[in-house]
Amino acid sequence: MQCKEIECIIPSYIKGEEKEMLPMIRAHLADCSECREFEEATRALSSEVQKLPKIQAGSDFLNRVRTKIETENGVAPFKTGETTTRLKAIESRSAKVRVVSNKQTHKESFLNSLLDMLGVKLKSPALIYAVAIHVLVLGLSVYLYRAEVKVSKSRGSDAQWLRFQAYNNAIHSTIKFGKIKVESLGQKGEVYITQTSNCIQIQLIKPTRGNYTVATIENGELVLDQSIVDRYFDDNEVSILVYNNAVEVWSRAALEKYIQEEVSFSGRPV
Amino acid sequence: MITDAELMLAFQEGDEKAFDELVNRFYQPVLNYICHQCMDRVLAEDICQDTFVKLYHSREKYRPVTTFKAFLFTVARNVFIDNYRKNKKSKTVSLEAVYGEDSFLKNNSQGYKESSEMIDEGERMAKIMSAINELPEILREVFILSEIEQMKYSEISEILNIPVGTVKSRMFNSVKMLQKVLKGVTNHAV
Repeated sequence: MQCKEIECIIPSYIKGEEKEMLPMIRAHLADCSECREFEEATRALSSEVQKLPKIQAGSDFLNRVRTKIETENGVAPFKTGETTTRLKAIESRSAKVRVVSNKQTHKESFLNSLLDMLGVKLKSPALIYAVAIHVLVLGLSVYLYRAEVKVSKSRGSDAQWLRFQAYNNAIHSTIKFGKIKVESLGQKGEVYITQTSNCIQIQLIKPTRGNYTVATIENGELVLDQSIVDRYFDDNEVSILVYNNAVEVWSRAALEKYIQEEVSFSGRPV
Repeated sequence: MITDAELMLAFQEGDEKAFDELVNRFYQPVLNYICHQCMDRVLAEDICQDTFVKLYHSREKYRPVTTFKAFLFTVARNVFIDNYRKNKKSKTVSLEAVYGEDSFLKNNSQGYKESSEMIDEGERMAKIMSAINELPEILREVFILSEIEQMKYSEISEILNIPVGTVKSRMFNSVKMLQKVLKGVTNHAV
């Protein structure tokens, strides 16, 4: 190898990321004083940078994050154990209905109480206090209504986000003989498949944990094991979502079901 | 010990204590990363807080196909871009702005008995930080993630959404530039 090629990989060699090239690099460094000097200088620089002191956060960092979350929401954060998984549009709709009925209950309660008070003819200072208390109760109910609507909006974010991906970024394709064309995975090579309850996730980089299977790309087509095809892709129509680091392949029907949308799946932005 | 990914999945299921644990595990490296990007500790703390607030709200976006650390730093980078790049950044670098008043001397007084040695060391550190800050942005962020945050090239590749080969070449270019600028400052420079 030429000096220029070696120099380019010396920083990664020092980090221990050039295991395959190790013998070649070492052999070159043994013979080349210029590259050796560059290596030593790079090690020295790395060592100096690591001596830079760590920046300290002020005390109570976690509390300040928590306060910010509460302030932004106008509500307390979710409590431990509260369900937040894969919340669907239907859930936020039912939450709104529930809150509206609460609001009505408060209004009715306020009117009923007022009529009761007039019925017993309370003296004016007591009436003023009672009205003030009920105004506070009504104010609180409106506040809680707004707060819960905000919670339901945040709860629906995953479905909204996935819907956005599905409508704007999805590539629709079909499976033929267990093969799917996935251009972003290249023309040839191995990929790593993780199976989830709804879809398969594909990575080019080997996952560091979790269960995965190895599949091949041949002529730009992902070759799937028949068991995966049987489990996920009954109807041969698939939607491919491309993320920064992975690709998800969904059955179109499963994706449509997942995002709980009754709109037909045209694949065009809506 | 519960892994970061397991904590994040628990948080997705509604376990708030898992979120607290993630904040405690990662606020220091995130703060460090952002502070070296913007060279302003106060602003970095704000952005760091916003990062965890964003993590709180976008918990559902996490998929275990990627490492949690890479996911979090991607969030941090996006928050940094949203909050910071809109404003023209200051090129002046001072230790106080980054570490807070006196913190450098307090934290690093061990091994530097003479005050003049401490000042020399402080100046040297300031020069190194300044040199890093002067790197072109695409080189700087790779250098910070690799050398200050000690991340693997594969993680950097995920965060910046660039191939590992590009990470390598950017690292090489940043090292070359720093060695040139810091000639005589570090203990060994080409």
